[in-house]
Amino acid sequence: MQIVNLEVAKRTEFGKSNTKRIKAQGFIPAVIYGEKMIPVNIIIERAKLEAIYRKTGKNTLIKLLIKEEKQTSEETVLTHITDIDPLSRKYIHIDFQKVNMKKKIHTTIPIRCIGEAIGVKRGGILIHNLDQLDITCLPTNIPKYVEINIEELTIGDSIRASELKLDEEVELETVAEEVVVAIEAPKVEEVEEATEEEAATEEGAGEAVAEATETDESKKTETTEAKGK
Amino acid sequence: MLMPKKTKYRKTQRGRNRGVATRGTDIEFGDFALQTLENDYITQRQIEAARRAITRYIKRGGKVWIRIFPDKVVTKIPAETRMGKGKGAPEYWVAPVKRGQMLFEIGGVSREISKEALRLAGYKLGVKTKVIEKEGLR
Repeated sequence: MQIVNLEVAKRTEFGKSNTKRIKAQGFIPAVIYGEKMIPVNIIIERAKLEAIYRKTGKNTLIKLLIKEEKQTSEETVLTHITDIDPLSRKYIHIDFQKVNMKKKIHTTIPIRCIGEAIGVKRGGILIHNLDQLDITCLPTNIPKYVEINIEELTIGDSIRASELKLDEEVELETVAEEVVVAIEAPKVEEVEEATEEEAATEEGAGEAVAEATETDESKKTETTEAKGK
Repeated sequence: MLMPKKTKYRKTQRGRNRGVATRGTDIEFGDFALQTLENDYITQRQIEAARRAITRYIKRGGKVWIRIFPDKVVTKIPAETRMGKGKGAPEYWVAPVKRGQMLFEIGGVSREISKEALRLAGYKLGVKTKVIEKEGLR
């Protein structure tokens, strides 16, 4: 597996205002942790990290060259957790996990579908039940993704996790019976009928609201209110 | 229209709806999603109108997930009523949403159809919205 080099700097400034400034300058705060090491806080150039993720995916082994005042240290890591801002969809913090190249690790890999299923051509809906697969393997054996050929799937067919072809060195951790992709029959919406019924439903909506809320508890409250008046 | 089957209490207090959503901010089921950019109430009728707009546009095929549920009741005092005499009667149901929350998700249809369907659905809601694509689709 390819190892990508990335230069990072040790983080020296902490706190809300400093973090805001770091982010405005185009850096992402991050942390490296792992077995037998003291966690190290770093900052990474946003553009460089995003370029790596775009090119090789999040499951890439990264050799971080950590620049300090006088010396430079190295750590081989895997991305563990990425925090994304819900509105801007930008990375706001990254957790890197130090990896031992001789020890098996637990990770997830993306699933990719190849081809167009027969069922989809006939009007079925392709449902991706799982996007990622949990695996255990040596850091050097992590596949970039798993491919599934869905061309022969017809409506009602599905592929389970156990049916996926993985390398011998890679162990599957996802439950074997879990459905990965399935072709469902289309549900025809009765749009026209619904439009006709719309007026009727809207008229009765107020009454329905009142009906839906009727419970013993509410009745009690009502009676107490009435007594008060 | 969506509404709870039964509730413990008939009326609720308004409460406050501030800040950014921390849950329901990722695409979990489909490939494309409609995300709210404002904090507000979304009524059961708006949800239904948006759902219809999506299903009408994608016609057959595709699957739609509604990520919000109107579980908060809004009451209203009748017109021309003097103040006082207690809280009004339940009128409709709303889903309080915070900015960042995913409202609808679509899967199983092409990129163009999904984006257009969600754009049309966005017009049915009382909040500003954005169409989001699942990471790693391209």
